[in-house]
Amino acid sequence: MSPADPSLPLLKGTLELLLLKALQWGPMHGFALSQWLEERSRGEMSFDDSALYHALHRLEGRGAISGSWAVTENGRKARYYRLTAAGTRRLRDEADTWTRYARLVGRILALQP
Amino acid sequence: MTDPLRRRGLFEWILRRGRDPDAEVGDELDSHLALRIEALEAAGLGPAEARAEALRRFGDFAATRDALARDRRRRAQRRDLRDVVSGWVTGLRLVGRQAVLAPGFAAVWIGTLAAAVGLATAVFALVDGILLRPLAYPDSDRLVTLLTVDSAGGRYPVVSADNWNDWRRENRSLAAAAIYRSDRGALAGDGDPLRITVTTAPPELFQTVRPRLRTGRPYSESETAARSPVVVLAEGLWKQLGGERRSGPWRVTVDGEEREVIGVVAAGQAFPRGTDAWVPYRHRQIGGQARNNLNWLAVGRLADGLTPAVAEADLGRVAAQIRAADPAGLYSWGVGVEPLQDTMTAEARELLLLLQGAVLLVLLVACANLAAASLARGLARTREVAVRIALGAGRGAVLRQTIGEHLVLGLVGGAAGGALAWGLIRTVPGLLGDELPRLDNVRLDLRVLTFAVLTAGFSGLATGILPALQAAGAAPARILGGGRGTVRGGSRAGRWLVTGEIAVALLLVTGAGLLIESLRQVLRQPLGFTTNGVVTAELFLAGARYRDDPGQVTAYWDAALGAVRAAPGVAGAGLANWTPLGTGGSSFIEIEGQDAPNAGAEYRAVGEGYFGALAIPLLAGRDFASGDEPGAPRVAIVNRAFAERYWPGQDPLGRRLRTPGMEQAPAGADLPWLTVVGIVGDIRHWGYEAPMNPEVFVPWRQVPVFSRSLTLVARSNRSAGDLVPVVRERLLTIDPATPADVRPLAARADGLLASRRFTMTVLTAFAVLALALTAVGVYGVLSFSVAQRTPEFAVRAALGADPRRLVRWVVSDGFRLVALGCAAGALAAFLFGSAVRSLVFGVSVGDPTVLLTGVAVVGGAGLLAAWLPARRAARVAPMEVLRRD
Repeated sequence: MSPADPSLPLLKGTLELLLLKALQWGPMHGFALSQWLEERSRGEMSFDDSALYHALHRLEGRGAISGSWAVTENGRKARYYRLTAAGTRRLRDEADTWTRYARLVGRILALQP
Repeated sequence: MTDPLRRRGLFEWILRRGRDPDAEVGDELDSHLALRIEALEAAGLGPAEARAEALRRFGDFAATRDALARDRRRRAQRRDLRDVVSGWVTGLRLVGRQAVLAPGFAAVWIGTLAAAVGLATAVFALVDGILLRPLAYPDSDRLVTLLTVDSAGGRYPVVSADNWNDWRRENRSLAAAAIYRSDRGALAGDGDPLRITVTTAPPELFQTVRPRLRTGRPYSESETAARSPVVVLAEGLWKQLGGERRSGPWRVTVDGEEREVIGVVAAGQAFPRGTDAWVPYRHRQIGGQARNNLNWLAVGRLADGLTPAVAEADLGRVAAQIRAADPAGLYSWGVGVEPLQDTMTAEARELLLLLQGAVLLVLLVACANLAAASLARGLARTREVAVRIALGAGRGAVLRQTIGEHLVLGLVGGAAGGALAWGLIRTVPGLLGDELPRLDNVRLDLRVLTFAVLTAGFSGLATGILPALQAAGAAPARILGGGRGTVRGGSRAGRWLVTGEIAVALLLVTGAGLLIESLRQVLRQPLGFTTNGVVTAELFLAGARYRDDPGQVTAYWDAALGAVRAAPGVAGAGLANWTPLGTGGSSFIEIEGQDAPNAGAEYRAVGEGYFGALAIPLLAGRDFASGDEPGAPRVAIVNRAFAERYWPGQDPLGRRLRTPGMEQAPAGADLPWLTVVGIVGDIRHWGYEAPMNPEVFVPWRQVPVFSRSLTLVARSNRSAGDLVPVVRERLLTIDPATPADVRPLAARADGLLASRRFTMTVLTAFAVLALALTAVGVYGVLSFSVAQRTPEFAVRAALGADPRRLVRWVVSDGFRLVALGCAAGALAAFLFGSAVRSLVFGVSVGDPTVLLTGVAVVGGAGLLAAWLPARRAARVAPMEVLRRD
């Protein structure tokens, strides 16, 4: 990532939350998820694809999502992930926490001395 | 949804539960790159540029792939462990819960497995202790039995001392070898005289077998050569005589000779087994005909690194030399060499392996039954499992948990089985007496316990696999959505299991039937003599006065006969050197006027009244008389088989024969001819299963070599048990220093049948157990199917179906199971019948009567088990059932 890069680096743990959110739209494979995030962030967020897969595997390991092989519309095999019940709960809790946290940090940062 | 079990090998599924993590991760990342490149190319990049860009956006491809694969692997391991542990925990909970909720089911389940595992373990303990464990002597795997080989290749466990002298001197393959012979003898110490077993052997016996000594030393070569009066005692006898408390030189009288006790063989180390005292002996070479006197046993110790086959070839060379140098030797066509352990356990081997096979079949039937029961229960739990799967539990996890539950059940059953085996091992050997060799070696130790644990674990797995597959195959949508769900696959597996059980039960029942029929046939064999009311009294005239004065010997026997014959109720008494069902010997025979150098017959020295005492009929001529004395004309009596073999169609009375195997010609004279004065009936000297051999009898008064060691046979009009103390007492009044071994003859006949009875009883018990389990299995499967089809029956009953027709339906359903199982079982009985061939007597292995009886028994039990649920089907109350839904 060059200093000139205009995109934002990711805060730790954010990517996992965003992935859970993305899967609310339905099962997706890794590439589709990266496209989805790119589009929704309008290119302002920057992360390597490798980070995406690390995050996916961590989520799968915790049982928040589960993966299975299927065929894409272009006839390619890809591993699709979907939310599990635990994942849905986790998304709700973490989204809630994140929103409160962001609001709190934003409020504090908005204060003037 | 595809069934993961169909897609992959069952065992791969159970053991690995997934693809190789490396391949899985690699595939996923490759697919990602491909999709990215596709998208970039669609945006207008060239293939090479697109690939480079895709890789750049990915980051470190190789490192990521490796890290992810490593993570996956670790996770999979943790998950497996968790599943197994949770399966065990569930299993334990299940056991506990069932013990409370369904105590009957748990008790029957665990009890069945405990019985099967316990029996299998107890039989294994026998097999292990008797067949598998090495003998107690040092480096016992090097000990071999030496056997005589005749011109036809026949192998006999007896050798001639003359031949052995040559073997020992000329061989290059044995570290040591010895001949030995055990006889009943008398020991006099301070107290009452004892009957003991005395082994006569050269000092090499101790160098060959190397038994551990409790104290002292074995006798030496010089003591043997000098005929020093020494003896080695067994620890048991030594303690009985109070040897532990003695110090300094100590003498006992063995067979009339005072000997100094110089060593004590430790308990369990006696060779041959059962010996109480060893006395030294050195054989002086005679040569010629003496080479044919096969009256010793021989044991050898292989030189380091040599096999029995090498020793056999080496000794075969020595045997050929003997044959060349001494053509009179008829039994030197080779020397058999076989491991001592095989010799000692040869008779037990077949019986034990048969029982081990049978008990494993019982275990198999038990497992099949339990698997069927679990399948039925599993079907009842289908909903629970379907819910778990719908909630996200992996099928693999469900599968592993079900197996875990069964492993726990199996091990609980195994623990109970181990306790049962412990009890059996402590009681059964006592019931067997001396019938099996090395019984003292049988115990429940780590090896046997390992067997029990493995068996129990295997049973748990075997019973768990089908229910686990069934649980993992549960389709949530169908079961949860479809109301009253039925899973046909499960009950189909149960039916196959039960069919297999029927087959195995028939196999066992047929085997048991063959042994039962064999015993019946054996008992039907006429012995040719009576055991009713007969007692035998073995005696050895040991005292110095008998050794020095033959007149004293004759006087003792005449007094003994007189005293016993005068006892109340005694119908007859006589003397013999070898009595039926005991020991015996055979001799070469020369028939006057016939040239038959290999002629032979069983040989007995007996006296007047002997045939009458055993109720052996005198067919022609006369019995011996007290007048057949040393100075009188030499006479003999032959049996009918002898007469028919050597004088077919002729009158044997007055013909002459002689016995070169038993008597040596006096110096400077010919061996005397014996004139046949009588013919008696044939007997089975060696027991029910033995043939009636040709026999020649000579009067003991004319062959002094046997006259100090005879057995008095007496028959009472009353019971043999009453006669035993009478005979013992009367004999002691004649000479208090000469103890007698007095026993009922019938006890010996029973002893000969003990191992046959034991095998038959145990195999029958196994068959009955298998049959009962199978009946329960048939009952269970049909009950389950009736329960499942109850609504259907209710509808049919409501529509006016005849209840008898419903019964017929269920019973014919059972009949199909039974018929298929019996067909398979009959085929198995045909294929494996040879396993009992050597134990079968008087009936052929494929005997149709036995097989049909077996089919009737198994089929009857199966149909009875089918009829009970059928009756229930007929009693279905339509409205009640239909209202339930």
